[in-house]
Amino acid sequence: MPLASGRVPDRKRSFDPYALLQLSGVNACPRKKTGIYHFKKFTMKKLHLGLLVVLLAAGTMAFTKPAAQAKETSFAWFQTDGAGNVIEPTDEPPFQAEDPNGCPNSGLTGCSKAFDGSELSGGVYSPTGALEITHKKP
Amino acid sequence: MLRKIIIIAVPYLLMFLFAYTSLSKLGDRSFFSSQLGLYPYIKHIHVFLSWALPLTELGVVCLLLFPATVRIGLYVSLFLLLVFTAYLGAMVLAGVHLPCSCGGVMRKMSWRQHILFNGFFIVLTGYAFSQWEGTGPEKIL
Repeated sequence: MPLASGRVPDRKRSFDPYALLQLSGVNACPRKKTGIYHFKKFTMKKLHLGLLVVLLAAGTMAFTKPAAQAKETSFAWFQTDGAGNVIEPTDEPPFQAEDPNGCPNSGLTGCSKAFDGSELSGGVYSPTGALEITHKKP
Repeated sequence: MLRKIIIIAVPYLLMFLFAYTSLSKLGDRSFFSSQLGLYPYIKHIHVFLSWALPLTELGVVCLLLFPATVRIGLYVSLFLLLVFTAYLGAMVLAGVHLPCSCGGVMRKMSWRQHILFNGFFIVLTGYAFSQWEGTGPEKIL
């Protein structure tokens, strides 16, 4: 007759220590690790690693330059005539922070303007987006 | 051995990429929305996209987090990367020059650099997706 744990007592031996422990209420049989145990352990490990990666990404983001500062770094620069009208070039206008035309940031007549971007249309580049900076020359 | 390393590492790389870009966009959503408003074809839905894109990326991160949904996460990641890259390629070919509305350090890349960067991840993701056999440890490790 098997014991509660499913183990059949050894009839050849007069003394079965496991049977004695079973009768005394002690669970002598070690817990059998099934496949679901390994799967749950693997899942938790992968979950912890994934959460660590997400936290790492959030931490890296903390060292990224704020967008408000990044917005001011690059513009599409266009030369303007004396009246301040944009001269649309055939070559792609420079996209950078500093004015490539050497125009001062003060003055009375047109020199250059900076926009958010540019697009090619009809063989020339025209400004797109908002006017960000206007440079004039005396 | 290299195959197993790639298959194991790619979901984590994608998690990092999408978590970083989505949190960067959500961190300055108004700027991201205004940048999207400059893009042709999508400028009329830029407010919706300013929420939808980063939240979708966070959803992909959640899919990649759990072993049961990694394969779906890889599929969605591949789809998103292909769509992003196709749109960037169309803008470059059309001669449209706009500031990058990307998150974080990707903003410093030129359009061509960004396309190459996306292409690298597309190749990795496609390979990992094609080689993914299951979620149990006996099929991966």
